[in-house]
Amino acid sequence: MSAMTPAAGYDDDVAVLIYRHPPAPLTAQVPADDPSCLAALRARLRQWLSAASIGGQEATDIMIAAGEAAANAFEHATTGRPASAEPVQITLTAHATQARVQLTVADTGRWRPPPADRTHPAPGTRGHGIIFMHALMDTVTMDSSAHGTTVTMTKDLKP
Amino acid sequence: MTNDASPAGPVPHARFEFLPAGEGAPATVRAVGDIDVTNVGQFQAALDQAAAASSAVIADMTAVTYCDSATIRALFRAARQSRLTIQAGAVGPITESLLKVSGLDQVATVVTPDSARDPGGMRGRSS
Repeated sequence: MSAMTPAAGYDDDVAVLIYRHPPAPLTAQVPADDPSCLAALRARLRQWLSAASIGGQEATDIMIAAGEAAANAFEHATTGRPASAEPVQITLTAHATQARVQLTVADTGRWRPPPADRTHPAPGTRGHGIIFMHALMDTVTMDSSAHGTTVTMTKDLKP
Repeated sequence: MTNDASPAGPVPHARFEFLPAGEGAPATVRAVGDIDVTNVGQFQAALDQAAAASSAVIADMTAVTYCDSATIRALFRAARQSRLTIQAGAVGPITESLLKVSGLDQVATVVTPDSARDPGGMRGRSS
């Protein structure tokens, strides 16, 4: 504050307005040829969340939800794929406004259909990933086509 | 805007420490860092080792910076093999809500910094 004060001081009242400018949207794409791509995506998202001044439990929740979606994309995009095929690409985008964060995790492969017991998986079995996404985020939608799957998730930020 | 050109940045390495049971203290596995599909097998191996050595196992998750459902599956397996206590941090990926959603709080004792200060308020139960 003192650095902004003119040498001669102010002639009138001063109002200070603080505005959190959302960072530029994030787009990170990795080839799903190795599971270490998941850590690379996490590192990018972590950096971006910090730049967006999103921290604490909100940041942790977003990290886990994105991680689950990316892990699903990796697993389902690579299972049963011939070794000679082009690796599937996983693309993470993140966009923040003052009030909410929107994430997308898209792959160019095909997901296995979710298990029929997705709402009540047996303890310790697969299926928790999607439940966690729903528990940690405010909205979760999944669009699958022959060309890939996109998971879109939003989370409302606490003021 | 795309910024694919920037490097991915440092990826935290995870560490798994197995502390054998001592006087009055159960075997403990302490996990530090990010746990994902690339290293959950090491975490599972440490839990298996602890369960083989001791009927009661503590999974100290207070220094875990990232984990997901792969870790929850590993903890479920540990809870089938031993009397499991999960130590959760004040902040971090292992939260009471996640443990509740997964049902882990039904098969393991969950200790949070709050419940550690007030043992009467401890959530979950051992089975």
